Amino acid sequence: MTENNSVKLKINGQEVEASKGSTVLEAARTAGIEIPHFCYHPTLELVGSCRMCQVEFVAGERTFLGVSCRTTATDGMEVLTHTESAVRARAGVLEFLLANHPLDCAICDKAGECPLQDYTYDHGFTEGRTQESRRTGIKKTPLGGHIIFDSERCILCTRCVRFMTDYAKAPQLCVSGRGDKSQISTFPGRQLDSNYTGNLADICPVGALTLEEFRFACRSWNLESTPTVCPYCTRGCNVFVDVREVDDSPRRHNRVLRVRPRENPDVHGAYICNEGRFRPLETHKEKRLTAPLLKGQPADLDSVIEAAAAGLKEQGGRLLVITSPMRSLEELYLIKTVFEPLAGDKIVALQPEQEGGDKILRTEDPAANIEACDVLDIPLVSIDELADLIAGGDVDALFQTVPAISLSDDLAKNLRHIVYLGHLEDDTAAMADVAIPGQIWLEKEGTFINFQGRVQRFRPAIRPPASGIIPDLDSLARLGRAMGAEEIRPEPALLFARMADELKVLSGLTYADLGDSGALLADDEGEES
Amino acid sequence: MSEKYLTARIDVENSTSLETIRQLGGYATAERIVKEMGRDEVTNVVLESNLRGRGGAGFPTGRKWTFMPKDFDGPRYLAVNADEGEPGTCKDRIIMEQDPHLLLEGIIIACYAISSEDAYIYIRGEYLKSYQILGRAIAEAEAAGFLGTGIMGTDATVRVHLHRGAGAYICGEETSLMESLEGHRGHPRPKPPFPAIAGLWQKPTAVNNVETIANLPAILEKGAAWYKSIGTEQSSGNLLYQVSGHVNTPGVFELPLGTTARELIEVHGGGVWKDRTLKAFIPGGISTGYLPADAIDVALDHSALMEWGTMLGTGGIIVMDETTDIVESLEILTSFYRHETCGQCAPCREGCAWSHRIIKRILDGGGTPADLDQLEEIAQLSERGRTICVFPDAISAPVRSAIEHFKDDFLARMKNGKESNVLPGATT
Repeated sequence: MTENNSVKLKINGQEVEASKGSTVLEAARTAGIEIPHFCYHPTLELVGSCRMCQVEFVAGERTFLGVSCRTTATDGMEVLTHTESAVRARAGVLEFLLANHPLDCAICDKAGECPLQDYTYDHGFTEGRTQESRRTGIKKTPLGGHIIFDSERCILCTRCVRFMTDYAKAPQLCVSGRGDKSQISTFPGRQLDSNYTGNLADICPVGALTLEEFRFACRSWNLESTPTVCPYCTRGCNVFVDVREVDDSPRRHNRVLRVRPRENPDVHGAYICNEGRFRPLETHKEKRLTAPLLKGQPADLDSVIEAAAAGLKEQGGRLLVITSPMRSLEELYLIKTVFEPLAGDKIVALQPEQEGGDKILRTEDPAANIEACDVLDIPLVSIDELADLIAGGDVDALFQTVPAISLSDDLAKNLRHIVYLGHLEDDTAAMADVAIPGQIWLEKEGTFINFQGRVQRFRPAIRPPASGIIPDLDSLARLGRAMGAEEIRPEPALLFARMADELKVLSGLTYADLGDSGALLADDEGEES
Repeated sequence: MSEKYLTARIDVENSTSLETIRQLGGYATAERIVKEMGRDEVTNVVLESNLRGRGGAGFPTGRKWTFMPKDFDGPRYLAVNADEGEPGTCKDRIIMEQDPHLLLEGIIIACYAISSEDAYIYIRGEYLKSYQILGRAIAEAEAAGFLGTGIMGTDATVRVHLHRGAGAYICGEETSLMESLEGHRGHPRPKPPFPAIAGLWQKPTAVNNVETIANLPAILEKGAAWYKSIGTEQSSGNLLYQVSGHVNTPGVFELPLGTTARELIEVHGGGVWKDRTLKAFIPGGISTGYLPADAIDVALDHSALMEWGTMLGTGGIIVMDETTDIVESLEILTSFYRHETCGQCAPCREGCAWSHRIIKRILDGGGTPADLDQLEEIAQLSERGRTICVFPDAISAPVRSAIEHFKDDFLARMKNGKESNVLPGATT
C-alpha cells in the first residue's frame, strides 16, 4: 500500500518509493540512481533549461523524452534512464555544451571535481565533431566578492544567478545578451557584494566561477580534506578544510588553501558564509608565538610551566582567569577544573562584541562556543566588565588565554603575575611574565556547542608551524600538575566522558557518537531536545 | 469570392476613428453580446465555429478558452499576442493600423466570454505606428464607454492595457510573452502548467493572436454556421494571407482558408517577378520551411500542408525565384534563429549557433556532404520536446526542408566553392 504522503514509481524496472511532490530526479536519487544534471540544484528554484537530465517516460505503448528535474513523480509512473534515446539526448546536450567549451581542464581549478568533465568521461567522448572554431571570450573578469568569471567555460546553467537571488537575497547576477551571446554578468557598474559569494564557486558545475584565493593554487586531487566545524559564529557550520602538504625538504609545512561547506541540513544546509570560508586562509599570515617565553625571553617549557605555577600559587585567591568562547568545550572544562581551587568563581570568558546576525546563516555571536560557557557556568563578560573586575582591586594575578587584549598600563601595573596561553606573538605575550604558545582551532581537536545546543566535533586539519607548540590541553594539564591540582589526562575524548558523567545535559553522549554531524544536548529532563 | 470581414473597413477614409467605425456598425455586436448573451453561450458559438488560432499553431480558440477553470476565484486575463515577429508575416499590423476598433471589439467579446476584466495587448516593439494608433483607439473607446468599468451601461468591465515589447522574437511565444509582460527576461516557461491554468501572474490566462480576436465580431454577428461555410472542412473562415518576396504585387489578402499557393502567387501576388520562374516558396512564415515549385497547387490550410510535412503557420508566403540560392537564403534564415534564440536551453542556444555556422561555412565554400548529416543530427537532438519551447523545431523546418528539396544547391556550393551561384544572375 502506498501511503498518502508517498508515491510509488518504477525507475529502470526498479520499484521506487518517494515522498509526494518530489521530482523524478530526486526520486531516482533516493534509489541510488544518479541522473546527470547541471541546472538542477536542490536548494534553488527549478528551471529545467540545461536539458542534461532528460530521461524516457513510458506512456502505454509510447515513450517520450522529458526532463527529470522538474517532472513530479506520480504513482505508477514508469521511467527509463538509460535507453538509447535518453542516453543519446544527454550525450547530445553534452556535445552542444562542449562545442564551444575551451577544454582547458589542464589549467582549470574545477578539474577533478567538475560535473561537465565527469559526464564527458562517462559518455566516452574522445573527439569533437565541430569544425567551427570555438567561441572565445574573456577568461578573467573579477565580479567582486572573491569571484573571478571565465566566460568561455560557462555553460549558462544559471545556478549562480538563482543562488544570489534565492539564497543570498542579493539579486546581483543576471544573464545579459541573448542566444549564444548570453553571458553571466553583474549589473553595469556594479560588483558582487554579499557575504555568501564564495558559494558561487562551489555550485558552479564548471570552472566558470572560481575563487580569487584558490585560482591556480592546487589541483583538487592534491588536497587533503578534513571534516571539521567553523568557529566564527555560534551556528557552527560544518566545513571541509582543504589543505596542501608542501614538502620543500627540509622544510615541510601544510597550508589551508580552501574551506568548503560540508552539507548538514540540521545546521546550515549546503552553504557557508565568506567569513568562515576565507578567514582560515588568513591564519597563515599571523605572527605566531612559537616558543615559551619567560619575562619576554625564550625558555624551555618545563621551567616556564614551573615559573607560571609558582607565581599563580603565590597569589592564591587573588587570581583572575580570562578565557574565551572560541575555546573548545574540553579546554574550558579543563581550565575550570585546574583553576577553580585557586580562582574560585573568578573564571570568566570574554564575550566578543555581538554583530546582530544576517538572517541567513550568521548568528549574533561571532564565537563558536558561547553555549559551552553556559553549560559549564563560566560567565561571559564584556571588555568593559573585565576592566572593572581587574580595577576592583582584589586581583593580583592573571591567567589568560585570549590573544590581543592589552590591558592599559594603569591596570597592568597593579598585577604581579600574568600568565598567558595563546597563539599570537603580540603585546599580550610580550607583557606577560610567562607566555605559553597555544594552537589555533585548525590545529587541534575538541567540541563546540552551537546555538541550537548541537555538540559538534572539530578536528585538526594542519600541523602547528613549530614543534614547540603543543596542544593547549597538554599545557593546561602540566600547569595543573605543577600547581598541585588533581591529575587529569588531557585527551578530548576522556575529558568529554568526564563531563558526560558530571553534567546532565551531556549525559548519554560520547565523543565517538558525535560523528560527523554532531548530537543535540539533552534537555533538563535528560531527554534529547 | 466570399465577403471580407477582417479587412472590409480598412480602405474607408478615417478607418481608425471611432466615429467612422460606429457609422459602419462597429461595436454593435459587442454591445449586443454583453447585453443579451450569456458568457458560456459566446464560448459555445466560438467552439461551434471551429475558429482556429491565427498565430501559427492553429489550435481551436474555443477549446483553449474551455481549459480555463470555471470555479477559479480571482482574476483571469486575456493576453493578446501582437508581437508579430515571424519573418514573412505582416497581417496583424494591417488590423492594428487600419482597423484597430475591430481588434478592440473582438477583445470585448473575448473578455466577456472568459470572464476577464483585463486584456493585455503585447505589441511588437518595432510596431511604433501600430502602437500609436492602437493607443489612440483605446483612449477613444474608453471615452465612449466601450472599454473601462461598466461598459456600455452594463456591469461588465474590460480594461485594455497596451504593452510594448523590446525587440525579441521569442516574446511571441505565449509563455515568454507572459514572462516579458510581468517584467522578466523573455524566457519561455515549461508547460504544463498551461497558461489557461497558470498564466499571467499565475492566473488563468487566454493567449490569443490579434487576427484570431479580430475574427470574433463577425462570428458572433453572423453565427457559427455562416463562419463554417467559409473555408474548408477543417479550416473555417478567412485568413489574412501575406505574399512577399519575388512577386509583382506583394501584399496582404483576405481569402478563405484553403486558397492554393498558386492562386496567391499567380493571381494576388501578380506572378513571379521579372518573368522568372518559381523556385521555392515558404508557405507560412519561415518556421514552416521551404516548399519546392512542385508544391504550388497545395491548398494553404491546416490539413493540406501537413501532407507536405509542414503547416499553415502565419499564412505569410515568401516567394523565391529561379535565381535564388537556397544556401544563401538559409544562411540568412538561420542567422535569424541564432540571433533570436533566448539561449535558455543548451540544445537550442548551441544548436542554432552551430547550425548557422555550418551553413555559413558551406556558403563560403568550405562544406562537405557530411555537414548535411550533421545538420540533421543537430535538428534531431534539439527538437521535439528536448527543450522548454518549440523554438528548435522552428529552425529545423527550414534547415531540413532546404536539404530535402534543394540538396543540389548545397552540393553546388561544396563543389564550386564560394563564388558559385546555382544559376547565373545574382539574387536581387
